[in-house]
Amino acid sequence: MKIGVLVLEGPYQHQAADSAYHFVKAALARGHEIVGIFLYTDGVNNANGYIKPPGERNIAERYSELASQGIDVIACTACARFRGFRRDMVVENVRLGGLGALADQLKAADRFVTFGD
Amino acid sequence: MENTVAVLMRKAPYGSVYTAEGLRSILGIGVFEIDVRVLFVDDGVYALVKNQDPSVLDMKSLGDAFPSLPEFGVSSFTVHAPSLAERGLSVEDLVIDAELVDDAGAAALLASAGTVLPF
Amino acid sequence: MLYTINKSPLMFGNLKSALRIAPEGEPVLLYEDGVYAAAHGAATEALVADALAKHPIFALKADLEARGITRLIDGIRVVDYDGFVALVEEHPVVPWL
Repeated sequence: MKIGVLVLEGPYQHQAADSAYHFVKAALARGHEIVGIFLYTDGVNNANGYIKPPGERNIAERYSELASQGIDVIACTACARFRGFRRDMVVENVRLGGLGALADQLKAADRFVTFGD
Repeated sequence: MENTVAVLMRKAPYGSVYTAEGLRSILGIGVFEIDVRVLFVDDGVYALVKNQDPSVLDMKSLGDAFPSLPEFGVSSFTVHAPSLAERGLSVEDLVIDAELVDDAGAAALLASAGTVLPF
Repeated sequence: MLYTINKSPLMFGNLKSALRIAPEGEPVLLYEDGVYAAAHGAATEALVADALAKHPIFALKADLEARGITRLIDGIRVVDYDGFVALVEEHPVVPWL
């Protein structure tokens, strides 16, 4: 099955980014294709390559790891601009993209799951 | 059926970014050949009331924005009638002509879209 | 449709609101703070017990364990993330955020 995922909250403040990650890992383990993970609103902050949490899980690295497996992980360009999140801050393997990319994921997915507040 | 998305608006405007982002996503995905149906439930109905003036907060009015959506090809607006009633509101208080539905009607709209984007 | 709830029913109306709209027979998944609805003895137990007569209600194991919720209302079905995905295979999702 093709599954799309939307994340509406940033790292650490809310559990959404963690829940989405665990859900995606489980979906991959069951043999599903993740057509994309769209990081929207504060969700773009999950793709900040400068995240260095002392002694804690690195949420940006987790999304980078998923993207390195071929999953299209996209952080919303406009949301990034609203938050002073520069292109050169994006963690490896993740890219910036517009709502057209979200539309593509919505069209490609058999199931679409949103994690947020 | 495949390219139909229900945008589920349940949160009140201005106190958080969700209504504004919901609106932005409606515009953003609506231009990409997705049939967008907007459903207002719970505090989401507050996004549609007349006389909103967030200029005092230096914010853009969502009450002005929703009526302009048909220009962008989005014209399916549905309001959960019980949510409206329990807020002491009626259709006369809203900035758009919306279809009213009951609980079953709201569920049917979500089920027929098959994909739900919550804001 | 799978209605997913991530808020505590003691603090927020999300569960009540979703249950009003979810047609009888539709499954409900409690996750994140939503799992507090599965806890035995909470003031919202009657609401959940009534809902169990109409809906299969699932609670996410990781979120229950993280929060130390060990005594569940009878009838709540515990699923892990694999089970969460299995539910999504069966039903499109309505995230009642």
